[in-house]
Amino acid sequence: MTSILNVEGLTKYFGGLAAVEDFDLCVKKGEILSLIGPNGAGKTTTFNLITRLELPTRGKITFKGESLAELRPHEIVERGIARTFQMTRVFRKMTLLENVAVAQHLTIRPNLWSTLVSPSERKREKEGLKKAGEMLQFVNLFPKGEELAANLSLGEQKRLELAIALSMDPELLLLDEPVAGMNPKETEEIIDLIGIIREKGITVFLIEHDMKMVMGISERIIVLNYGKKIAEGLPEEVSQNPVVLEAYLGRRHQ
Amino acid sequence: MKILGNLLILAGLIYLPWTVKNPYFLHIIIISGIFVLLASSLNLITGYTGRLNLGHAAFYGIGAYSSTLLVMKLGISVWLAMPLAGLITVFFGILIGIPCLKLKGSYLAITTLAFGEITRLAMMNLVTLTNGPLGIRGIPSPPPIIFWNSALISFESKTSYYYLLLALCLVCLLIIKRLLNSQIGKTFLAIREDEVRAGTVGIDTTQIKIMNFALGAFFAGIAGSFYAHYVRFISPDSFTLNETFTILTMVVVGGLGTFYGPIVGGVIFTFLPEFLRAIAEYRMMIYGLMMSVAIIFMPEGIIGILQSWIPRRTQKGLKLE
Amino acid sequence: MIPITELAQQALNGLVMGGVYALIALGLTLIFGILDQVNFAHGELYMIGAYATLYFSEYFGGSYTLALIFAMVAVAFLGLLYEWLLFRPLRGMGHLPAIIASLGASLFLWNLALLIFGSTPRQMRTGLSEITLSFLGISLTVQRLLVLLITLGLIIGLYLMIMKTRMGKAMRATAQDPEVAALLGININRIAEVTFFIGGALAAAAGALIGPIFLIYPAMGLAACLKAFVVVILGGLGNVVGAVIAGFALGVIESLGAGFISSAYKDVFAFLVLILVLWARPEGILGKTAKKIG
Repeated sequence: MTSILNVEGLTKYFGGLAAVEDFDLCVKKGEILSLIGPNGAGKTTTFNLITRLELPTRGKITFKGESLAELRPHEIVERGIARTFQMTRVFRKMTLLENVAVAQHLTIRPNLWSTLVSPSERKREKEGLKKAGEMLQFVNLFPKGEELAANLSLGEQKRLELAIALSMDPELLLLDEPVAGMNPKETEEIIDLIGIIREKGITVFLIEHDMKMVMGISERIIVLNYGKKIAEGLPEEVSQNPVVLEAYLGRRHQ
Repeated sequence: MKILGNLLILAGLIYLPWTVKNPYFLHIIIISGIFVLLASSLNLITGYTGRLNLGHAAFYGIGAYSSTLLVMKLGISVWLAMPLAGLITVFFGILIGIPCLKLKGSYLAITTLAFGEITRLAMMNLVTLTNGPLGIRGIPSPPPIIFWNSALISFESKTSYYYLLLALCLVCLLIIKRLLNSQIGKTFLAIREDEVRAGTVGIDTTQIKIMNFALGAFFAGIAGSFYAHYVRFISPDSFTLNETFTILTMVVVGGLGTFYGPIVGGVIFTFLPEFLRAIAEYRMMIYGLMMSVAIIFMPEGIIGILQSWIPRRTQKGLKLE
Repeated sequence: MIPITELAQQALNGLVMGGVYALIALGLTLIFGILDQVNFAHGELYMIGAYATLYFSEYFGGSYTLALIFAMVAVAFLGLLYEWLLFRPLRGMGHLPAIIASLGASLFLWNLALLIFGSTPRQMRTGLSEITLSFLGISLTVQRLLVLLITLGLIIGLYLMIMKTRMGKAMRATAQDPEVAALLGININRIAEVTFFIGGALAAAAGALIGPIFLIYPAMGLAACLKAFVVVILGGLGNVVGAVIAGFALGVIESLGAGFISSAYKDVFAFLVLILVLWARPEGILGKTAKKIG
């Protein structure tokens, strides 16, 4: 398998504290890769650095062979990377359909003139709404399409985040704790959805704390602790790795 | 059903001048139309995109002065000057919008306020250009529109101005409505709800924010230009902080972030002072009070209240009725 | 060659004004730092403080100090009203509603003052403006000296209060992380009340101190509010030390600018400084660290 995302020596300092330090990682095209580690290990920071919400102190990130340096967050989406947020960030006073439709910005590529003048623009918007409906159907939220996102439960918001991310037609999907706070049934549903997403050829890179889910779904796992990579490999290897166990157990004692 | 309703309203609006005997009353209606445009333009920036612009009167004034100077100093026809004035205002909208890109909340409010005041000071002090505090008199009215059969519409009576304004408002509001329903309209809302998140769904927030300022500036500039050729006298006194606050009150009480809110607000707050002549000195006080009460108790304004009376299955977001 | 004495004189005058700016800005920055809300009606507290001092001093037979104290207390309660009526209902709803609500309150209050007091500016006579002290060619009226002393006293008092008292610790905790503070049992509403109380008192003091030096008029709150915002932004929203430094700095810059460049455009300096600084650093010079993302 070829690699789709390459991270070399990624480092981020907040003041004197290293949130992420000399992190190397390689995401292979089409795989499901999980990033785990105790709280505060730097996992979300890594996602933020990849999507350019935060700027690295050092390090290189390349996607499909091209560097992601100097890009603005919306340009990351253009390249084909979409992400969800650990603490869901949906557009609260917009309806579900609008939440998903607005993420099709780059598919529709509106500009002022065409919006006002061209009838094909309107056609594209109608198709966009239809596609948004399909996305909502995929995550089982279609019946609530016209409701405001603020009215959703946490689990539903997480599913909406997934729909929004898929709406951007990504090649690489970054999921930040997609099942946090969900009951087992909801978790199962998400796992199924991720499976389908993977079958469509989308690479999935996810952060999670739910070990059962991580072990069940991942092809490879990377473990982060205090901003440094401490293990990498197949689920069976990682789960037996004493360094990893120490990281988690040690933390629990504190 | 809805189309029938809209046609009836349109017919009513077209028929209106014939029912109004008092020219002063027609004048108030025309002024309210101008403020409908002003309030709608501010609503684009503040209501839909969530960026408070306390310098909006500056756009109004730039439109008015640009149009006036184009006609009186460069001899351009009013019909050409009006859209040009809109474009000049757009230019300033972009000029002001760029430094404001990284600002939000109160930073943005104060900076736009500063720009508004600087603009007003410029109007006062660039005497060779603007005639300073004395203002400019005798601004030409639009030249008559001559048809192929030599029938003409002249702008000596208020009625012609009314129809011109009606046409302007219809075109501008239709454009605004189309924008708000479009993909671009959704990006406005997204930026308002969560600007950082908007970036992560592929929206170039810089481009959209500038476009948004430019649009708000354009419609305000058009309103200003019409005002100049209607009242035919302008001075910096018409484009002060008071005007901005009045327009803001119209938007907030009418319904921040709704399509009809500014329309309702514009009409109500133009007519209200007329009925409350006796307590004119309490006017700004009452506006202030209403603005505070509205944002606390009825954040969606009068439109929000009306909407809540209509039984609905679920709440809607951007849907415009 | 710039005359040193003149420079020093202008700088000293600037420090006096700067202290007043700092007092107003402190209340504003506390409200932002602790409650994450913006009060556009803060200048009106300053204005009412000035008028209150005027009327109280007449009531107390000319006693300026008594009037000052009563004005501070009275306006502090007005600050409390702000919190109860405007800011508590809107807490947690983002910046825009609070800005709009306080704008409305500001409109209401200064137009109310216009109605009650009339637009003719008033003067406050304390007799202290008449006595001048001179030293090395620099002169200072006793009134201005008093302003400087009281300002410094209040700032130091506030600093001690925030750093040493339990309430101060609670306020700092809330500013750092309101959720954690609530979990620790800190009553945010109580903190808010204290913050607005203090803010009101400080603003009133500023108004009372300025009164005898300049004229008192209903719209004075607007200009002061603007200046206060410039100071707060320069010092960083929520940054108490920053507000003090920026306040004094702005006072001195304005004074030097007015003295040596042009006094007609004095108020424009604040705007220009603001725009330049925000252009270079949208978070303000000493900025507050950005909130967490995601």
